[in-house]
Amino acid sequence: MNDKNTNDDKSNKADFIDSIVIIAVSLFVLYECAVMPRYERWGLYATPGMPPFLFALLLLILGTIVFVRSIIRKGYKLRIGRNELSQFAKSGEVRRFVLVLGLILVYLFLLGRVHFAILSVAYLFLTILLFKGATWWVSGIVAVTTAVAVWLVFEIIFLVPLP
Amino acid sequence: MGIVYLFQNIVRLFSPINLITVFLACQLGILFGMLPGLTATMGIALLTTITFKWSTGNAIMTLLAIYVGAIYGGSRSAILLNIPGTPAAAATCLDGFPLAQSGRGAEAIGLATTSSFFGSFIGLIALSLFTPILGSFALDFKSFEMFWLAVFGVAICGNLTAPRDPIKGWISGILGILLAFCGMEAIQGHPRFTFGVLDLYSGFSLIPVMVGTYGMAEILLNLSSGQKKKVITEIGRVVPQLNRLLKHWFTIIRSGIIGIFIGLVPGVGESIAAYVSYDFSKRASKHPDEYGKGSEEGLIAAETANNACTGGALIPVLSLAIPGSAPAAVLLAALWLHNVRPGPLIMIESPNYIYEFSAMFFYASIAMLVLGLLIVKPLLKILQLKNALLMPIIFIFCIVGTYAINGRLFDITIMVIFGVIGFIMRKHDYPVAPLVLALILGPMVDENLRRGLILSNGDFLPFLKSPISIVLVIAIFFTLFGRTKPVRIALRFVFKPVTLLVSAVKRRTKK
Repeated sequence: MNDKNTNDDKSNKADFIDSIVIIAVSLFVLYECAVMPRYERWGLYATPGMPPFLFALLLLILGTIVFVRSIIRKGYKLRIGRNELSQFAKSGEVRRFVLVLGLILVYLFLLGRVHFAILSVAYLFLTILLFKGATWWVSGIVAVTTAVAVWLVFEIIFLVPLP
Repeated sequence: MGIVYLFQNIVRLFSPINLITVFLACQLGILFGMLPGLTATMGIALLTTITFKWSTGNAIMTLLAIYVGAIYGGSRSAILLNIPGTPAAAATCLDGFPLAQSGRGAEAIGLATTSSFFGSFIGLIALSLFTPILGSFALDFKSFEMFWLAVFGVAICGNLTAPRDPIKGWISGILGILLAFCGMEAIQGHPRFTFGVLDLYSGFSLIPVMVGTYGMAEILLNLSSGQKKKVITEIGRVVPQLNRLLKHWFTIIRSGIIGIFIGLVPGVGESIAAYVSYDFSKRASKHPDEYGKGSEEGLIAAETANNACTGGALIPVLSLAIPGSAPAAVLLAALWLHNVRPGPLIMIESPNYIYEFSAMFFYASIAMLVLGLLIVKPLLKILQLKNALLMPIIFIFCIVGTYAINGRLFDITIMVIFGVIGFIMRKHDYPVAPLVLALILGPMVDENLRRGLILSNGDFLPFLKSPISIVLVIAIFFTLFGRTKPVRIALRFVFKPVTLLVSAVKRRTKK
């Protein structure tokens, strides 16, 4: 019962933040539509900004519904202090997320600068090893075979260009 | 008479060379469908170049087998990894993955395979018998009807994927439509929401967004959660029992018919067919609460419809030279390359071709069934691999699939960005399927709404005039508000005389 209440509480707080983001996005789209050229000789109904304007308006309505609902359910009672932030940063899930995303971003940065097969071997080896997917030598074998097989099949056999 | 011609062509095409070609091409198609990012469209496009110098019959048979195999193959990764290999398999994830998680992966693949075969078979019948008749029905869909159809697709998908809180599904769908508006629009050629980024002028490609929201998000979720998988000790029976399939005979037929009709409408495609059929099945089911938690009926509905849609999508290809889906468009181009001229004159110029084409489709469906049921257990080993070993490998396939479409590094960046967006959406209970579907349907909404308004000089009334539009508007209304209390009370009131009549008849027959 307690678990359910905690989950609902978290979900209401998340809804509160999400609804603010959704309302901000819809207002931004509405503004962009308003400043778009109108091509009035086609008729106002044919302007490029008309369909996004309509759907941004719908998004604004739905975002407002979620916002009001989260306020009724007391989702606005957020506690953002130093303790909460340090607890958040220390959690295992956040650390793992930062690590996996960091590795992906480094891979993305080097893509096109380093040969695809070499970069992929390095990425696969490091990720499998750091997340304890296999021992170092199994990680090495998996990394080399996967990267080389992908490169051979796609670039050499199917003539698909790789980054 | 059509059946006789079909049978004659099936017998005529029976040869070891043709069988080997079909089986190899179908297996290749299944692999294309399975790997995230590699789609049926891409498979047909790649093989069109390889088969360019082959004889017309062999080349078309190969491409058709790839099409059928790839649409089916998408269900493999959807069931085993919760990553739809092709957009057509997005609805399969809803029940296929929960079934695999509960240790019934082999059974789920067996059910998906047999229902895909039944779907293809229903599509085959429609393709061979109704091509000339049904082709003309698709022509009745003009701008007004196409607009409502696209809106219906997004509404239904939002409802289905967020049954507890449909608002979140609709928000996801509207965000997808807004994303589809990015880039150069088709009527005045104005670049919308591009912010000076040249790569955005062509808009967001579907593949990077789909691979990002499904594939990348799944990788981020699995690796960051650090949870270990449940070890599946029993693999179980792959070939489904006949009585189990017979139990769902009505779902199979209904989903097949839905798939054909949606395939007939140009530009809609297999993904929406699967969602619409899933919704119909859920509404008619005695156990709607099981949907999304591993319902066999839901899986059968989605898989039958997307494969029946392949047959349906080929009907306008042959009879009108208008493709019903993206892979069907590439197949149409391949037919032209091989000097086959589909269109309204095909029944006059080469009346036998429709039956020859249908016979090829028949062999492709048989190959899909046999290969689908034979090569299941080795694939289930994927489920037993550690996430930390499997996910980085999938990431490499996501990169290759995303880059191979346009050869742009920008697409990979988009894939990663949408991976993070998909991760946040899943964490906050926003379904990603409506976003992906809306990205497909967004241009359809935009162009048909504005074109329709230009044609009617700004008058909205023609959008509500035709019978098809009225049916679609009613369907949208019930999708959005059908479960609200006032509508349910109103419906009960309207149908009260009917229910009273039915109960009176029942009482009379009992006596």
